[in-house]
Amino acid sequence: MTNEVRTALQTTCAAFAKYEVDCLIIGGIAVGFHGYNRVSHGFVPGSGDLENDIDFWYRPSIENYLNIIKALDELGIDTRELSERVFDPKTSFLRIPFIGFNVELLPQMVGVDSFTNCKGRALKLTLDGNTLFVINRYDLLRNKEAIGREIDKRDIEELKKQKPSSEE
Amino acid sequence: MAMKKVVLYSDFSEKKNLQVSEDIVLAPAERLIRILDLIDLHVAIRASNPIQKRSDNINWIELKFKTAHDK
Repeated sequence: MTNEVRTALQTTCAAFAKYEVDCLIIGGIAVGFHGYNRVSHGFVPGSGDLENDIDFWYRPSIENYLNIIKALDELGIDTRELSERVFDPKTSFLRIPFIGFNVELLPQMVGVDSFTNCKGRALKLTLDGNTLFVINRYDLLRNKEAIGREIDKRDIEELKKQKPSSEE
Repeated sequence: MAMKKVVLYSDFSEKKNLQVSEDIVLAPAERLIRILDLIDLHVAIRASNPIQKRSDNINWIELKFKTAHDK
């Protein structure tokens, strides 16, 4: 088995650290981190039910956006279109396609407190030499309650069965 | 630290139906590695059975890697 997702996370986070990109891990990885592995529960190949993306919520500031462009450029992404755009914290959702998954960068999360407050509550850890922040379980649940898709409802149900870890 | 149930031993041979598991403590980085490994496995499985991406009502800015022509 290859480690393409982990490698993508590692290289992306290394570039983000170099250019001081301020972000949090959210999405399916955060759900798994907090105890519910969608992949190992009811995986139905081809169902369209599971996505494997690496999702980041980034601080919605112009400075951070410019740092993201520098980091993506170093990762080999064509950033010419981004450089020509005006940063908009409501619409600057970025998606980078890898084979089999995407890296997605979101400037906002619905239903939650400010980025600064959520970052303050996030779990900090080190993986492959990078310092990472994973959104807090409570903030993740609030976001999922606000989105309210079927997949979010299932995530909420399963996450609420899990005991919060002592770091939370 | 979060408690995780980990399967230590399984034997589902003809005459047995046995699975031994134990709650173990995982450090945050180990928890993240565990989920990344599972996602990597899912990506590998899905490579031969691609699915249509669900619509999420977000107008994504779709980026791409530079080609040799761009560099």
